[in-house]
Formats: sequence, C-alpha cells, structure tokens
Amino acid sequence: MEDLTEFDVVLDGVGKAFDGHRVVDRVSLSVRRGEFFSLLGPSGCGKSTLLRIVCGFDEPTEGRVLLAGSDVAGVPAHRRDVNLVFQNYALFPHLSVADNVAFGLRMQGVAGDEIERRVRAALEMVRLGAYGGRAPASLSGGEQQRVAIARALVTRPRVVMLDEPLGALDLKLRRGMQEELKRLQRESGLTFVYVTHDQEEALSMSDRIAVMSKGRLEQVGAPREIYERPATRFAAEFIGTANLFDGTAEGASVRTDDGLSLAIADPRSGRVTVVVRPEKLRLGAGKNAVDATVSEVLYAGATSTVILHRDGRKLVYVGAPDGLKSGDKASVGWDPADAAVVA
Amino acid sequence: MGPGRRGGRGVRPASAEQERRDPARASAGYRLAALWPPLAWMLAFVAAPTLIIAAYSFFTRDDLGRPAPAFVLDAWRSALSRDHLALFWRSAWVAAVSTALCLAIAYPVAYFIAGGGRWKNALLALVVLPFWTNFLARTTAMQMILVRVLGPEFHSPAAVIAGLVYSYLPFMVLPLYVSIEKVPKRLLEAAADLGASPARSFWSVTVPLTAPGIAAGCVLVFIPCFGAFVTPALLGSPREQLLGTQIAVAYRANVPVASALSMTMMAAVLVLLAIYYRVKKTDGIV
Repeated sequence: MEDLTEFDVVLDGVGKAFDGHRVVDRVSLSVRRGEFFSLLGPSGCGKSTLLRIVCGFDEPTEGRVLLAGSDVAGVPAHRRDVNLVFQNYALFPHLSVADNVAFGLRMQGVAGDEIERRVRAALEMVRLGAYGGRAPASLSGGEQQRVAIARALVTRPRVVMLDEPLGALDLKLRRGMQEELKRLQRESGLTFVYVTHDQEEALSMSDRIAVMSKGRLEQVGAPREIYERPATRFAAEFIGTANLFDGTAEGASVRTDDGLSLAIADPRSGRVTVVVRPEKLRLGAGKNAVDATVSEVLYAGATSTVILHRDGRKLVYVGAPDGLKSGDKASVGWDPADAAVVA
Repeated sequence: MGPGRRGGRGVRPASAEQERRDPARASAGYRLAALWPPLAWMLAFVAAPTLIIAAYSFFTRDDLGRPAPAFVLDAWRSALSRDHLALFWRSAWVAAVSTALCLAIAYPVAYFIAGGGRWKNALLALVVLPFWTNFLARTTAMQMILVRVLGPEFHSPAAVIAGLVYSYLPFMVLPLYVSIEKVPKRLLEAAADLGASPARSFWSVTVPLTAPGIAAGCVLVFIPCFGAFVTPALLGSPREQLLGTQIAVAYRANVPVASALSMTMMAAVLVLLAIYYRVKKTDGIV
C-alpha cells in the first residue's frame, strides 16, 4: 500500500451487520487528500451506513477506519475531524443562520472576532451574505442546504461528507448546486466524500467514484474509467445507458444467449456480458453488427436517441440517425475495442 | 379545518335553495351546538364564580361580620397591606423554590425515560401512578414520614416545599418528557459532528430545544404551588401562613378580604400566564 498519510480516509475491510444482516460487506477504499470522491449506489446499498461509520455515529463490526492515517476506532464523533452535510440539513432551529455556521467554531474555542469574520466569509462563499440574522425556518430548501454546507466547511475539517445533499431539491436547483459544490470544493481544497444515488451527478462532479451494490464495492475509478470500462455487470447497468449482451466467451468471440456471435478485443472464456454504450454504436458499420427494427426515434437537438428491437431485445443508439423512422430496418454495429467485457 | 369549511369557500351558492343546503352553514350550526356545553360550563363554573368573588371583594360587612353589598375598598386595602404582601412574596418564594427543585429532579428523570426504549411506557406509568392515590392521603402520608424522620416539630417551609415537590413532580416530568422526546436525533448528531461533546451538546442543543417543555412544566408546577392550601395546612408551620392557607383562614372571618386576596392571586397567575404565552409565541419553535 502507498504512504497512508497521503489519504484522508482509508477503509480497510470495513463491515457492518445489523441483527446478523450484513449491510456493509468488507469495503476497502482510500480517499486522497483534496479529492472529490463519490459513493454511488442505489438506496439501501450501504453507502449511508458507510458514511455514518466514518463520521463516528456507528461503529463498524469489522475492519478499520483511518482518518489522516490514524485508526479512529473508539474515537467519538465529536473528536473526529470530519463534518457531515446532512441529507435534511439538520440545522439548529433555535439558532440564527450565523449562529448555525458559528457552532463548530464555538466548539473549537475560536475567538469571538475571528468567529464573526469566518462566519461572514463562509456565508459569502455560499452566497448568503445577507442572511446571517435569519432563522433557518424562514429559508427555502436550497438556502438551508447552503447554510448546512457553510456550517460544514467553515471549520475547515479534514474531510467533508455529504449525504445526498441535493436529494430534496428540484431538478433546476440541483444543477445549480452541483456547479456550486464543485466550485466550493475546488476553492476550499478540502476532501469531499459525496454520497449519492444519482449516477449523472456522480459522473459530472467526482474525481473518483466508488460504485456500491448490496453492501459491496463494485468498482472504484475515475468517472470516464467507470463509464467506459465498467468492472461488473452492475456497474455497467447502473451507470449510464448500456446495451448488454449476456453470453459465453470462447477465445475472441462470444456466443450470446440469443444466438449472436460477437467478436471481443481480449480473448477470454466463461460466462461474460458484452457492454456497448449507445454512443459507441454506429449505423451500418462496425465489426459486430446486429440487424434490428427501429421502434422509436427521440429527437434531442444535437443528437437523437433511437430505440431498436430485435427478437425482444432492446438496443439503444445515440447519435445522428439521418432520417430513420419508426418501423425502418437498420443494422447497428461496433468495433470490439469500443465494447467492454465484464464477467 | 373541517371539510365543511372548504366546501363553503369553494362552492358559491347560486340560489336560496342551494344556500339552505350549503354544507358550510350546516356545519357551522353543528359547531355552535357542539360548542354550547363547554361554553355553558365555563360560564357557570369559571366566569360566574370569578365575578361573584370579584363582587364580594368590594363588599363591606354587617354587624355580624357577614358580607353586605356595598362598593368599598376596605378589603382591597387589607389585601394589599404590608402584612399580606409579605405573605404574597413568601408564597411566591416557596412556589419558586419548589418549581426549581421539581425542574432539577424532573429533567434527568424525563431525559432518562425519553431514552428508555421499550421501558418508556412502563416508566411513564410509574411517574403517573401516585395520582391514583388521593392528594390528601398522599400529603398525610408525607406528614407521617416527616414525623418519623424529624419528630413532631417538623412543620416548616422546608417541609411544605418537600410536600409540594413530591406532589407536583409529575406535572414537571410529563411536559419535559414530551419535549425531550421530540428533539430530533440528527440535531444531536449534527452537534457531535461539529465537535460538541455530549455535555456541550446537551446545554447548547437539548436544553434550548426543550425550553417550551421547561416553561410549560414550570407554569404547571408554579401555579398550584403558589395557591397551595392542603400541603401548607398539613406540613407548614401555623406561625408562617402562605397565601392559600391565609385565604382559608380569612374566609371564616372576613369574606371580602378573602375575596380580594383571591383576586390578587389570580391576577398574579394571569400575569405569569401572559408572560408565558408571549415567550412561547416569540419562540418560533413551538
């Protein structure tokens, strides 16, 4: 393993069981300093439990958690240099916005005038400079979320954890906040661990993503790597849209369960799934070709999405369809190098 | 509110025929009918007696000492005399100390019960259990215990306070329990996450968030303690009367004075309640 001090968070075989049911199954991963790291998975995959373990609200039943290189077993939440942005903000209703943001600084015993200065700077940073005296309840959801973010960042903790922070916001607000969060992370230079079930959000914001399913780590990697080279069938299916061909590999070809013969780049054997992203498909070209019938053309400006069917199999193509319409016969293909093969 | 109200706002009656069937009107009639019994009760048993006592406080006395209709301020002069004001303050003091002790004892109890998991209901039942015994019987029991422990000369303000705390503790525990239980767990986690030790999180999050419960409990305990009669009569020293016992004594001798004293007590309580509601309203979290 590399030098541990380079990592702000290290999970080493961390597991958590409730009543004998494993919700986190021996997860090992490392988050680099200053990294925007996402934990991505469907709800119930154990990502929130993992986050609670790092924060110190839950103890793992096995494995080790290292923060800034040192084991934090038995260290209570209030002594961990980790701040959490709660899913539902968890602002203190009896304190003003400024006092909410000042809370962590007060607990650290920072001097009064410095608290005032840093709180003002933190509120400016989330564009709520004029809101210091307001009660949290008088703010909109998006504004409350920004207060929660300012409250977590103002003490400059080693790690900021964010638990689906945009989950309660509407789509337009989400887009804006995604950019905002990315900017805040870049400007502050802090390590962010971002928990989300939204794959688009994870792809667009993260330096690296850990994909989780059923308590297990499926894959850790940069967004492009995860999208283009998924390690498992789950990762391929959960992230983005994928055309999946299940079959049996023998050398450089795969015989699919519905009778297609597909060439693959790297020879292998056994049960595999060939993953082809919609934008890698080409019309009437490519070494592998599948004849299908167009059932739907969804125009979206720069590109169109074409849904094709073949013997009950659905194929998705994204590109410039050049006058295809529903009912047309079309051949879609790809080169083996453009497909990923997962076990 | 009710569905009738919504209907009344949404549907405009177009004719007299429809107006007669308007559900809003019908339900307003029902509501008035339902309101009558409590209203009549309040008038007969709260408003009327209060007015009668208020009237008595301006009466004079005939040669036999019986109250006689008049409009004089003699009783009020007596009620606001130095001696009676001293009594007033002593009662307020005893009630304040009893309330403070109740709060100090009840808060940990309520806190413990709120975190008591599946034992919650059983523990709450234990808090309420003494209510199943008659108040007089409980105070007499207290009297007997004090005789055993301190001897026959136990009568003192301290004994009164002990009796009051014993009697009114549940009035403090219950509102505190309700407000402590309502404190969202994630706010305590947020406090810990931001570096607050359990003690600091208690003082800077739990206590402020349970302020409504503290205020309600204090009002519920202070008011009956302030006007207490049975407890000081049984446990107090006869040389040191409290307002409640003094009113009882005065009633036998001088009804107008007793009435005026009752009115001052009621005024004090109303002022207290006004402050309570004012604070509660500006609080914003209740």
